[in-house]
Amino acid sequence: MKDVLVIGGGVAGIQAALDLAEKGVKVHLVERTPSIGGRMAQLDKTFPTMDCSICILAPKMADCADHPNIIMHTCSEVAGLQGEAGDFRATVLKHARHVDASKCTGCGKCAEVCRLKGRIPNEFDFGLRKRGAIYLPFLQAVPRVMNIDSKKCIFLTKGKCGEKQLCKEACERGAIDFDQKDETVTLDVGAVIVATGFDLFDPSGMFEYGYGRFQNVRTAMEYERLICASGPTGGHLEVEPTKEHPGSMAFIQCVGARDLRLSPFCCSVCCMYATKEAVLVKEHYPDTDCTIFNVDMRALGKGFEEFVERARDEYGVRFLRARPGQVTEDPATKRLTVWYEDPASGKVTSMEADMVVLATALVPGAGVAQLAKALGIELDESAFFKVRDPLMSPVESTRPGVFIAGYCETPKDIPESVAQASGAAARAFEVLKRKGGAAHA
Amino acid sequence: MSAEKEAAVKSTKAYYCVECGKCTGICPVSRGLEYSPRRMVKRALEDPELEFVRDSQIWNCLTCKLCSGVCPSGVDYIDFIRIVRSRAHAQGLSGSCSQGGQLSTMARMMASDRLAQGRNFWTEGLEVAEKGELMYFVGCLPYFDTVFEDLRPDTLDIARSTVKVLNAAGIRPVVSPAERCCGHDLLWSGDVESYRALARQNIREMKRLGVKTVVTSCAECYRTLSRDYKEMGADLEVKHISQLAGELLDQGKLKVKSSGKKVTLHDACRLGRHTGVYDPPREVLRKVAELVEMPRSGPAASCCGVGAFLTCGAHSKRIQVERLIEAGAAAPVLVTECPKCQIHFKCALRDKPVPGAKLPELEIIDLSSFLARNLEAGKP
Repeated sequence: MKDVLVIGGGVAGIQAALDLAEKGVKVHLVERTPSIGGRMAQLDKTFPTMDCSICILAPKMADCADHPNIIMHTCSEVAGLQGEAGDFRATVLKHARHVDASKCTGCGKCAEVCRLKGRIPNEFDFGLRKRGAIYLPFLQAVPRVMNIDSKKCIFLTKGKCGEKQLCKEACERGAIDFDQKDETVTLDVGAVIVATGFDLFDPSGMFEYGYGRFQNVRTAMEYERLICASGPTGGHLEVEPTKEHPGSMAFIQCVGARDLRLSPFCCSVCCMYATKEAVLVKEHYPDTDCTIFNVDMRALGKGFEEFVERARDEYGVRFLRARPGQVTEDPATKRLTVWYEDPASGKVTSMEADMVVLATALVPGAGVAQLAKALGIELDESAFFKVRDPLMSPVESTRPGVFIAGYCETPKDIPESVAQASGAAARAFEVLKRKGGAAHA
Repeated sequence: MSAEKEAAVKSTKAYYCVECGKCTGICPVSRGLEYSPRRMVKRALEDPELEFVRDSQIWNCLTCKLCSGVCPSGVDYIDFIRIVRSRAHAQGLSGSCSQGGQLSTMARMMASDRLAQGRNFWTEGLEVAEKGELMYFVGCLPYFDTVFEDLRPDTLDIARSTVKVLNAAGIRPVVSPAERCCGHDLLWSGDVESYRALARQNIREMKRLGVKTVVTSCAECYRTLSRDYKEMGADLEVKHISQLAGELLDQGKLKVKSSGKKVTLHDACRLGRHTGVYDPPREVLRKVAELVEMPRSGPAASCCGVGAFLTCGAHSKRIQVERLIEAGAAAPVLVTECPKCQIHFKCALRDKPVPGAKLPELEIIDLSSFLARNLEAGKP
């Protein structure tokens, strides 16, 4: 039986890979960044159960690393797909990590001595923490292998790093390999599953909310890192410049989403994660006022409406149906004022907030057009991957043998992504079976 | 649905409104007066004959366009207000002009075919042409000095400075004695008929003189000529002086020296949000001064508080005082791009209309004037 190619190492890609591997199919899991885990690894808790996100995901990530049927290709991208369902040849571009994965233990001694240590904004915490040129993407990264940022590394960009390469000297196992080159491999696979997730809309262009200009205006994903115990502040929510915890917080929903000029669609998860984020504030600091400014609350999953009611009745989170027009800042105190039309009186009202959290649109990834071209599949008008029939074939792309799972198909939450991933894995397995041959293992 | 209502709610996309209230949340008028853009749209949608135009609230809008800049539904609210006001005007209604109707009366008088203006008295000593391809559209500058004599805004200095800048680059612009008000204020006050009469006469005159490019020193003239005259069939290239001066500086035809001053810039609604000209004034200013931005600048810029001389009241004064304090915190010099912004700010700075508010020591000067004072001596 042929192998399967899974593109994207987030929760959907991980689930699809594990399902197939358990069926005895060999899976190539391709991930663009240095670690699998995706967006779920960046979240603090999950709604509505308030489970620790990484605690749920990390065992699955480790399973991927340990499974005999899963071959991970991190720092890798799919460049082309030839052939047909049951008999594809995929071209995969593997970027050099400059660290030998078979030798590195992820001990981090190299990162300690890097001359750029603490100088480069790290991707995982959205720049809230700084890393060096050699780094581990995050604490629970899989594979646990260091990575060299070839665009920043002094030696790789300038050909010389001081008197000697400190990282190389620090590594006891000789894992650092500056001669490593990018390589292109061809994989014979029977089916492909695309699970590339989403990108975050950058709200700096929306002048009304002051993101990028006002320090205490944060995106929801930044907030997830700030409230997370393993995050840059150890889970302490700090307001600039006092570093005290906020006395009042405003959550603004649909920033760049449900906006005919930007992303017209509903991102489907923000009502619930904002409720979760407000509850988290209340659990940390019961006296902090929390207001969620929403267009309308969309709580249509199992236990969701009840969760919103609990947030309102038990925790005292205020829900206001209004889209604020503006956030202003007092330049001296950095305190924020949120201006909105009060839904009850119809009058312009303002509320002071120490921190404003923007629920920014979750949008199709920047590279989807290129990937769609490489795979010979189509995108819809919002740049999500198109399925053959949204009613009866919700996991099949427009090319037979290529399946779609997770947010890259259309906005959805974690359990829906997992369900779709299992669906895609089952359909991929059918393709392999049709072509015959016995399963591995 | 009547044709007017159709125009008001369809062409402006007002029917896309989902009543989120974002417009009202950012509207500078709503913070002080009984006014809500959202409710205006709602009333229009629920009112088949647009009877609500009789409500004097329709004259409160500054047409500053902050609301449209943030609207998730892309409603063109200021166009909506323009159509609503034209409907009100047709019913004999009008806003209360802050200058007792003096300015709009003058504009209407200029709509007459038989008109002899002595509007070019200020060109003495300057190089101007009677005919040619490049025209300097002076606008209402020769009239403002008379109307606002008590304020001494010296708006004619803007006109003289603009020509000086052009002359320094070896350009002799056409300055027409038969030019008329561009019609901006009449258009935004609902008097579309008089606006059209003015536009037709200006377009005819420009054609007669062989004009292909028009340069303006006024943000409102710039918007009207570049956007609204196009709908009247004008085929003109329109440039604000900041755009032309920027080109001339880049080409080395214009030479300037640094003033050594720290300045801040007030974006005019008509130049910024209406037509998207944000960078040219900044690029020019950086060549002659150190530019310090105010917290609210570019697309987020505050309005000068008055639109089409319609809305001046205690709340306008509050908007102006707030802006002056903001400007004073940024720099000792406030540069404007529109003569009307300058008049309104100078008025507020002189009158100190908000008790208790501490107004800064501030020099308010137009971009053209500032540029002309910092020309490198001698022609390049």
